[in-house]
Amino acid sequence: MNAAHGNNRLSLVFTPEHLGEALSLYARNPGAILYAGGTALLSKQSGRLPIFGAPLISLKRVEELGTIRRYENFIEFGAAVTLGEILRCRESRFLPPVFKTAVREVGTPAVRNTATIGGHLAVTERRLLLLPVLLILDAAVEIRSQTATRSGEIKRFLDEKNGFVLHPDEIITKIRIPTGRFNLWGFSALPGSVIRSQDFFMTCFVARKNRFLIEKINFAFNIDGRHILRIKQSEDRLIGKKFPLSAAEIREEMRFFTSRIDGEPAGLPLYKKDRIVNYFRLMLTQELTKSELIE
Amino acid sequence: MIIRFKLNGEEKIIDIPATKRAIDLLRENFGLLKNKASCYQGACGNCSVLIDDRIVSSCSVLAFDLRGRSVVTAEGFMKTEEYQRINHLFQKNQYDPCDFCRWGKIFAIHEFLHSEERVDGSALTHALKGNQCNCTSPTLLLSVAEQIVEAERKMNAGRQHERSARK
Amino acid sequence: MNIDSGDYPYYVSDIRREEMLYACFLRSHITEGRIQSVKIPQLPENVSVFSAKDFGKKNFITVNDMKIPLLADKEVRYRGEPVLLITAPSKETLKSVCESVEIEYKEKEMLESIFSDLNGKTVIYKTSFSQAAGEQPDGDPEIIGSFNTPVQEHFYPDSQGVFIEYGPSSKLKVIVSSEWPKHVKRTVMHITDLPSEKVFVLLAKSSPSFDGKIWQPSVLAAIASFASLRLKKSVKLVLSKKEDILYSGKRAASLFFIDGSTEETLKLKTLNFSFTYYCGACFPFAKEMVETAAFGARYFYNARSVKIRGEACVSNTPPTDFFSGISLPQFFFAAEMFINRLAKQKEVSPLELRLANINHAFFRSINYEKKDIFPILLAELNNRCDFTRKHAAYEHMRKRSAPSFPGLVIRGIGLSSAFQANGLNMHRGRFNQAVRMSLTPENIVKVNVASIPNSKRTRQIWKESVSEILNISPRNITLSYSFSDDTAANGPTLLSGNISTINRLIKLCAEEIRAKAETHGREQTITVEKVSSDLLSRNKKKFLYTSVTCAAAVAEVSLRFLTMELIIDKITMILDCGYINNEAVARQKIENAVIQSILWATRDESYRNLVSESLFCYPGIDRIPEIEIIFRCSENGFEKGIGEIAYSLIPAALLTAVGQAVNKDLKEMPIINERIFGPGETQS
Repeated sequence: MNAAHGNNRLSLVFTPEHLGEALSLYARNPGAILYAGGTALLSKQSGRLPIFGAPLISLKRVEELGTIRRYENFIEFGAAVTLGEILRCRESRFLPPVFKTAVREVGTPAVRNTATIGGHLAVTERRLLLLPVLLILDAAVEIRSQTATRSGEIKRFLDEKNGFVLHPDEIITKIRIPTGRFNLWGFSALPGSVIRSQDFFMTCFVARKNRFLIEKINFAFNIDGRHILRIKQSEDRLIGKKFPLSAAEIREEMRFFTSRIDGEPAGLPLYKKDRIVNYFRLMLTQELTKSELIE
Repeated sequence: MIIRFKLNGEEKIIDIPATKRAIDLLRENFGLLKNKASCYQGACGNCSVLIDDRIVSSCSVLAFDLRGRSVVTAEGFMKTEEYQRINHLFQKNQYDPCDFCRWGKIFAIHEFLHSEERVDGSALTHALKGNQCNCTSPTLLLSVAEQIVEAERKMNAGRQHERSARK
Repeated sequence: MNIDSGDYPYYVSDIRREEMLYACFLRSHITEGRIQSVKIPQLPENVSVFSAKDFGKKNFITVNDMKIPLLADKEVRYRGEPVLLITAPSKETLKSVCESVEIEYKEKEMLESIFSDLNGKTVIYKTSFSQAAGEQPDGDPEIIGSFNTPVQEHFYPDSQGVFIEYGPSSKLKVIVSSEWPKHVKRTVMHITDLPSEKVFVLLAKSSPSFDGKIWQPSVLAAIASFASLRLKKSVKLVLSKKEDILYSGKRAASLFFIDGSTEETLKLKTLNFSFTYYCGACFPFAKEMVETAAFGARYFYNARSVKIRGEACVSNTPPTDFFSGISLPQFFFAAEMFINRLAKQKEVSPLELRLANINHAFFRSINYEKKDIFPILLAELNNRCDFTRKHAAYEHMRKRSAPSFPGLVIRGIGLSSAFQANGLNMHRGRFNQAVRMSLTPENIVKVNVASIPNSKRTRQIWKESVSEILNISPRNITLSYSFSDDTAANGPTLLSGNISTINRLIKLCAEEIRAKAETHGREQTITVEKVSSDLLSRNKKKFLYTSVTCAAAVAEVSLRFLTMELIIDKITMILDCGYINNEAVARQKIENAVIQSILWATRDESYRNLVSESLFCYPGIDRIPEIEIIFRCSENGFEKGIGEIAYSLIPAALLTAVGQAVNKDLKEMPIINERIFGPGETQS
């Protein structure tokens, strides 16, 4: 959520308790700032006195945004559920392990007790830790305005830079995380803060493996908190392949993958690209050869 | 804005700007100075307090967000038995963190004690990583934290045993 | 003030009074230039703005004979230089006024880097030394290297600040975190023209690593007390965290050129140092800094011919202040990197090269055991780390071609050696520290120190020293701090080596009191005072310091080519530390210094990178490497300072290890991933 800087010393704060109220307020106050946990918003303001320059609409008390529900094939979180609550809820044992691992890596316990899953997705200046994980899980969101509701897989709502795009009067309301789809996963992140480090890197993958065959695979990278890299064609090429791959197959997949990331993202130092390629190779040669995990 | 909340067990009502940071509210309006304001970015842990019994960086919480919630600062936590047990092990190990980072560490340990994390070195290290201060040895912190966790585990096991025996 | 009672005031940031004013600086946002105009709008009630004009001819303080401006007058010397002081009854009003003041500047063209202006720099102090045994060796040097270090800020949680309490009859109580409260008092008296009895300096609490802020608190105190006296109100001036990190005193950046050549026996034939320290806009201890580095250059390594040319110059960056180790960390970074590079070129063990060239005679002469201390330290370190074998193995790996397996972990190991100079004694008495001790007939001991104990443990150690010698319970011993004019102490307390020098003085006092009590009895109060120059009589040569602490370190790193990541696996340090009062406390102090020095070596932002303004972060506990510290103590030894030597050891050991792992000759800090894995540094 972008913070507007201006001369208003004392920001007006709305604290609606129902979603309809929140949507109505947002529609009537164009330019208002949605405030969930506020961690990303306040981390940009190092001074004592936060300046917003626009009214705040706090979503913390909106009943519909604080729910956690488990359905047969997915778990649904209200957008204002904190990351700490996600880890502590009863439903967490059904969550994909790659997602729980990623949540544990976000910040510190204090940050997780304040940051919300919806807020995490909606940060536009950086691509935070959970976004690629939710992408590869084919997680879905529900987005609502006063007049309309949209829902679908997260990737539908990302722009070409993989930033979340919301219409001016829209709020993310639900995030749905599929369960039971994948039986192999991997997650790795360099130590350091995605917001503060100048060299941040994260990779994740999920796969469905049936004996030796890959039935489905998704993988993504987060580079410097600025780029989410996902090569769909590489994913598609691996479907139906039998693991372990032969040396020739590995070389072929590496060649294809490397050609696809050449020049993208633009301006990336060579060693960071090498890192991406190294991880892809590791996934091919080691991670995907493992036996299926029982989720 | 009128903010009504519980502070160290007592109901409080105060009229203040809604967007004042909680750490400044606690220090300036209530004179609770043991929690310190340092980075104002939620990075250092010095301003850690418990809100609804969970550790948060109070510099990253605005006043309006305290409504209806229960806040425990250092001054309030000092009155608890859990604090006495933690402090006892601090002293026993000659572990004496400075006033800035002390409460961030204590609250981080408290959070860990009440979490579902499995008790091993890596989880504890992870739980303590949000505290920045170089006044003490990090290895000593970890060692003391492990002792605290172990002591709490034994105490809880003992209480569980007593309860079962009574039944 | 009795520090034993624990009645320290709060931290300055905790202090609040009715009717007080908050103050802040409006700082220059240009690097260098002229102030064209200052437009101040209509000010609300109780708001004041002070500029250099208000201070008039007193717009400066004097530190070590150097005049340092308080507020920028016409010229701006560095980005962040304070131009105005604003006071207001609330922080909100303060912020609002700051935003409404307009200052117009004419900016000079900025250099890309302070190291680029090699010919045009303004030198404020220089020194030179030349020594050759026999005929001057001829021929070109065998190896030339240049090494530079960036500025260093280190982590401490509380910002600098001062609280001036305005009292009746214009009495001022100055509550400040300072390592030099005597100077604060002198400065406030100078600015306000108040007599001594109207200026009372109280030491606020400060975090244990509040270090390297020797003279800057005096600047804050001077400005705030001027405003307080003028406005007849209490004033609180506390820097924001961002201000403190970006603009307060740093360790000076440096640039070293070293060249040398060797005999066939590995002994150094020539060794030439040419160095420049960049002091920022000003540094009143430039001479001490340059002379300390020259001292290191002259005495650490032996060579048939040694030439030293050193200077300190001004740069358009925030002023420098005294940091741990003074200037030796920068010197040892360069010298140790050079020696390691020489070893690599000659394909000999860096350990052997050091054993052949460290100035053993010098260290033997100042070591109370009269032993060659470095061979002992290096041998022990070698045993503990298996340095020789690992170094040879990694050298072998380094010479192979680039790794072809992405999972491969490449390792590196680096060695360094150094000494720490304790108890600065330049100018023979200019930086004296003092202890005054009295034993009353009631068997109460009053100890008055002119150094600020940085922890309860320090106070305990000092008391235990007295207790042991005089056989008196610690309960009957009181410690107090004094900075009044009647003590001989006049220097910044930091420069005394704090625990060690003061403890030695305490023991001297106690021993003399014991002797006097035995001779004359205890019917009357016995008072003794000792100053740090009294410790020098133990040394045969008149050095600049009361003692030196010798040490060596090894850094072990792994480079993971899968993740393109540097992991610092282990740091091992061995110190010849004389006598340790409390090993746990000593270990803690050194660990902290190790971590701070790792930050200096690896932090990926310099203060000049103002695009990325994220605050300086201390690493979380999950990123701290294994640290092993070996104390080599002596039963008959005395305490020596140990808290600073990590800064001299760790960066060179670390960079050498990384350089070995990636097969590059690294020459500057910080070692960020870009430098390690990217092109740019020369391949070996």
